[in-house]
Amino acid sequence: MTGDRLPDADHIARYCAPRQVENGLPRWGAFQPRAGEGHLSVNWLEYFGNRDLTAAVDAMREVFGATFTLRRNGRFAVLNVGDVTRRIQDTTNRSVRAEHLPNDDNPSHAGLVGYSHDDTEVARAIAEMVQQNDLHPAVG
Amino acid sequence: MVTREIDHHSQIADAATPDEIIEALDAFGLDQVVERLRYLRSLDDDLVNDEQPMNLESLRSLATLLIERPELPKPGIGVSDDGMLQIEWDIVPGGMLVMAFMPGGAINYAAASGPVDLGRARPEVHGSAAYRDALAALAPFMTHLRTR
Repeated sequence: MTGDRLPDADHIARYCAPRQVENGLPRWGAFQPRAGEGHLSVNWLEYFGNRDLTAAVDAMREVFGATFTLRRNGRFAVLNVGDVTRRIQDTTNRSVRAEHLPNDDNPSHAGLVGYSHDDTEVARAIAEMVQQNDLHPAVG
Repeated sequence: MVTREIDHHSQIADAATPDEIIEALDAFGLDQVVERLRYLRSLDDDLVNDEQPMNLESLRSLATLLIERPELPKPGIGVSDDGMLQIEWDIVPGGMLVMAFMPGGAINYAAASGPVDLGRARPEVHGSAAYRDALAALAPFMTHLRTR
């Protein structure tokens, strides 16, 4: 249901466009919400069932890619909900939560809610925690 | 300010296109930055998903910083959906410094230094300010930078 809070054990994936990827790693701007939006758009991987993360990313890529152009040099950054919200709280003192925000095109759509475009310190905090093994190709 | 820097300042101030600014940085000898910017510029030929092309004024502000502070290591460079140039460095031994160059000359910035030790505060700054004021706020964090 719209607005349901995602469990800490679950995972979200953020698409990082090629302009925001360098040396295979996302730049901080990949985690900056669009201007005028109060959340970072992500996809909820457990929406696709309890499967391993790679299979969930494959399923999500098919749904997301049907309405959003994915580029070969892009990446999906996969984050554990509890890890990312705790990290933001502890390093920026900001309270952020992950909510299911499905739409007609993408039933797995979710949001990292509680920060906006100008909250540069939150995007910085997320970028700082992303490692190479959190990343998946945007095009399978 | 040396003559070489004045010449490149003028070239950057007078540039009418992003390519002219990138050429000025090339002449200044910032090879790695130029390689990254040329790649990012090439992506302007195939924009998707409401992406906007590289913003001229944002690039001009970034280029001004790069020629004023040539001693800085190459920053990581990205472009936001609305075309703004964004940069970042790791801070050694822990932390990160990021900037976004906005039209009109403002810089949105954030920096935190020191290893992450959850539950323990570390030096941190963030905000938005005019170019000189933003650099002044970030000055304590602009040592021990490393390319990310």
